[in-house]
Amino acid sequence: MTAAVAAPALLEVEDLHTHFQLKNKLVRAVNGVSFAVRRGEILGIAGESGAGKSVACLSILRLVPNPGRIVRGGIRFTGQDLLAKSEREMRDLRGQTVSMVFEDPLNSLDPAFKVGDLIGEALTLHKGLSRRDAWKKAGELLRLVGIPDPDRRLDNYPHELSGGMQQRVMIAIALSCDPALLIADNPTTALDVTIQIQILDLVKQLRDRLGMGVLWITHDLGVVAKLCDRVVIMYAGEVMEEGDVYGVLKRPRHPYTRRLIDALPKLGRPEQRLMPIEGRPPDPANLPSGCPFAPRCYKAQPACEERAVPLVQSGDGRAVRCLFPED
Amino acid sequence: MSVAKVDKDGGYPDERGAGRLDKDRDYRGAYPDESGAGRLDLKEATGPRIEADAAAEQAMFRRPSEWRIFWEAFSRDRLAVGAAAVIGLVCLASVLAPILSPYDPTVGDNSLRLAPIGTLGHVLGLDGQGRDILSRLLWGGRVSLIIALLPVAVASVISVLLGLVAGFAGGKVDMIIMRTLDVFFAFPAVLLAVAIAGVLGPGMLNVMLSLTIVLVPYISRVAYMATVTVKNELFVDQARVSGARPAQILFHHILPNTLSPVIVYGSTLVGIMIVLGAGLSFLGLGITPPRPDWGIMCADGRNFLSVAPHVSAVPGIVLILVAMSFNIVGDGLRDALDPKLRK
Amino acid sequence: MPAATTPLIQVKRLVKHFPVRRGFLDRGPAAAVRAVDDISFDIGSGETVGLVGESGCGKTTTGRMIMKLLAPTSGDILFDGQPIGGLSFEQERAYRRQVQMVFQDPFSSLNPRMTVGSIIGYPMRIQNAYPGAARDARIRELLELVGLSRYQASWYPHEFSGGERQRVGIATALALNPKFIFCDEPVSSLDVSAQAQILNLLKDIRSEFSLTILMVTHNLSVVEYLADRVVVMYLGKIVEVARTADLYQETLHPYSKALVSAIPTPDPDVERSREQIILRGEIPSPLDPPSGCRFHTRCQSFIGDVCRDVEPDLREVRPGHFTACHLYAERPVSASAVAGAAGQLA
Repeated sequence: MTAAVAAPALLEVEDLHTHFQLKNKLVRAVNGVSFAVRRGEILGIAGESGAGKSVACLSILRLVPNPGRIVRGGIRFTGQDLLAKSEREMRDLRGQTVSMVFEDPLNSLDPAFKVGDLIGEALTLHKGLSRRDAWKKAGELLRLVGIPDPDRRLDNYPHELSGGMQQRVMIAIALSCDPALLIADNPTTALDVTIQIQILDLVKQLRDRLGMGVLWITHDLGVVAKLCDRVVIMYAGEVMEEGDVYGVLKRPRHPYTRRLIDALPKLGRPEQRLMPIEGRPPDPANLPSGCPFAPRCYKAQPACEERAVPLVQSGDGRAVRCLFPED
Repeated sequence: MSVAKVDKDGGYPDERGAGRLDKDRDYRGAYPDESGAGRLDLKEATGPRIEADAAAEQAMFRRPSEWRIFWEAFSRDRLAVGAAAVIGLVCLASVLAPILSPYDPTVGDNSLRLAPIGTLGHVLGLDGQGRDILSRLLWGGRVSLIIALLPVAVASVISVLLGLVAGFAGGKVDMIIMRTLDVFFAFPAVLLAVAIAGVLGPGMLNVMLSLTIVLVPYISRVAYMATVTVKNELFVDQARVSGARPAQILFHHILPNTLSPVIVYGSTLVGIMIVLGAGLSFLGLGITPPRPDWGIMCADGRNFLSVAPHVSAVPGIVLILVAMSFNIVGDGLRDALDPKLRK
Repeated sequence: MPAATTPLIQVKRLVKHFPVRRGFLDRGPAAAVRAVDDISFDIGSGETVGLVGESGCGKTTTGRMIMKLLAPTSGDILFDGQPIGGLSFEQERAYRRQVQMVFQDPFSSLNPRMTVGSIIGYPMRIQNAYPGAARDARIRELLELVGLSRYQASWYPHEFSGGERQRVGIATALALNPKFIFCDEPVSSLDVSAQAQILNLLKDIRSEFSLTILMVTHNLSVVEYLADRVVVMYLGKIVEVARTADLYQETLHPYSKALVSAIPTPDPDVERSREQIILRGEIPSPLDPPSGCRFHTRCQSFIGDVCRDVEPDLREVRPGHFTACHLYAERPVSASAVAGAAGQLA
């Protein structure tokens, strides 16, 4: 389990396994993932595409599409077991105590409704507000997320807004019922960088003001460096490394983390040649035994592929799943 | 074999002399990398290992022909193969009608009117005028199938042309062509077919003409959509950047990507046309008797449904079977023709 | 790399306006998307120029005009001193032999119905280059050059990953031995590792074949890795031009500064130490760009009326370093502006 810290854990995911049983193969999207998010903490889940980050977070809200199933593991939110809840209880939870922001706002916002209605929907649903009151609260929320001229925006339809504004509307919807935990799946990848930085700054401010816990999925380690307090590095459905952002990015212990960082162009050091990771990520339907990264790892020994490698905690709040970690 | 040195090939000028691909240098995993890692391991990233001898090397390059790839994909769908077999059988039987047909389909034996299925010498029974149903079925198949296939084929050719031109040219041309076709969409297809057939009068040619006219707007739309989609793909830009002329782009890139949706849609349409053609004949707008077709056969049995249902039922069942088979084959074709679904 | 005598590509006062189709009953003046609004810059032979900016800045449109995929509304583009507009059929074909492109989306840039070998061979087929067996040989060599296997010539695009497809795209671009390659966001849709491979590959083939490259991207760290000079665009205008090192060491234009500060980098030390500039508001629509300096609505160094009323000229503020900003005007508007600007220039 993750190391104990002062602030109480808001969300605890323990040994999560989510698999998709297809016609002729079993896709192991998530294989034994554990992490925790505390109040007021921004936890980043980073990794390349296909690492299982999105599936892990959908599992938390039990929104994994068919034929996906959570086959093992525990998910606890403020101590309550989420896997034991009924669908109706989960519906109560979603959008109210735990809300989620997705990658593509245009696909997530119903184009037939005005912004005011979209934001107000959760309010009328969960809090029983009248339409007028919900509309008013929606205006406040738009102000909160930094949309200029909020009262006019309430009457707009999603397609009338720019990508950045749509994403802010998504965040407003997510915040409408004062959630304790915000889960965000790559919400800024499609945005311009100057807009992205506005959104990241907004999330930090909201965290400071409202004390929410935030779970942020991304494949961009730069975003992790800018936004997150702690980070979990995922590969092939497993946690490879975990710890505070500064430590993990400055002194990575897992060879994969190190290779990920070395593959990125670094601002200010153009002469440093990029080092791509050779090979391809494994097919989640066909995972090798032992460490999933071993076939591509410069430190791999035969022992790495023989048996599953345990995630080892070190006293300084960091954890590595590697037989030969750096450092 | 010498490397294609730039200055030696078909008069293609290049002063620089740079850009020769040097045979001596090993370009595999070409980009150098300090750590020594970063070279692609061919074994893992690509296909089969390199064999030493030239014949095996040649074999590596040989790729299965388009037909083979198509057949491998199509045959995986057993239902589609079955349906194709049914169609094949029916077509064959109709083509061989003169040989296979036991009796003259237009001559009736009044003593055996409405004889049921299994009557001695008449496997499928006889109709209201004492004509052998099996024979009429075989001969009728010729008509019904042609009435279905030919309009679809002709309409497809016209539609692909219209769709390509409208889609590729865009602007005013697009508007004129597609808006004109839109007028036809205002009328339900069946009604339109009936109306045109009614105006033109009965007869096989007129039926086919009316069906063709009705089909063109529908197939054109499919061809148009495919064209417009493909037109915006980046590989079309790549072709332009290579210097391809519009006609070349149309033929090399747009047409092949337009043909599959049209073929798939067309095969479904044949199934529908079989029924529609039969319907027109049923209404008396089709071919002239005494030539049989499946529609007329259904019509003939109309008055005997309680007494001798087989007169209408047999051609009706055959109609449904064949129409469904075309539908299923259409689905199978769609899957088999999509390169992404191969392998 | 310093430019030789005549720059390979010269863009002069280039303008591209896209008319917006209006409904039958729309009244008022016709609207146009002012994608590129009077820009000029050069690309020297053997140089790599990065063209950067965000949505609506006109960088992709500019590149497409150089590739003759779009016709300019006005202005000139010169290749080796010759205008590329109004060419005869043969001249245009010759131009296309010299000027090739790598596209942004590797899933759209390869015809799914053609084998990768046919795709790479297509430019040669169209241009009648390398006839006969030489073409096959060249296709295989190109495949190996970009790090694929010659035996994959008969494979279809869907059998390759995104990064591999992009390599096929690069092989295709090299097929005709061009002098110039326009790379339109070549790595933005790729995974981290594939990005690194493609960037390395571009670096290598560039020196191998002495290529001149124009790279359009929104990612300034990619630009820093590959470009000799950078052109920064905003809403159809050039706001800054400089050698790469100069741009990052002394960013002049407020927008460029914001852009540089917004690029996420995985180094927490850099993240903590550098200036965080968060712009106000959204990127305005190119249908109706702001008056005067187009950036004035979001500018963190807004001086006053001059920014709103007067469009700044692109001026050489340092040797080889140009910017279009009133902060660096020859005659500053007011003493207080100078005082404010001095802080920026330090």
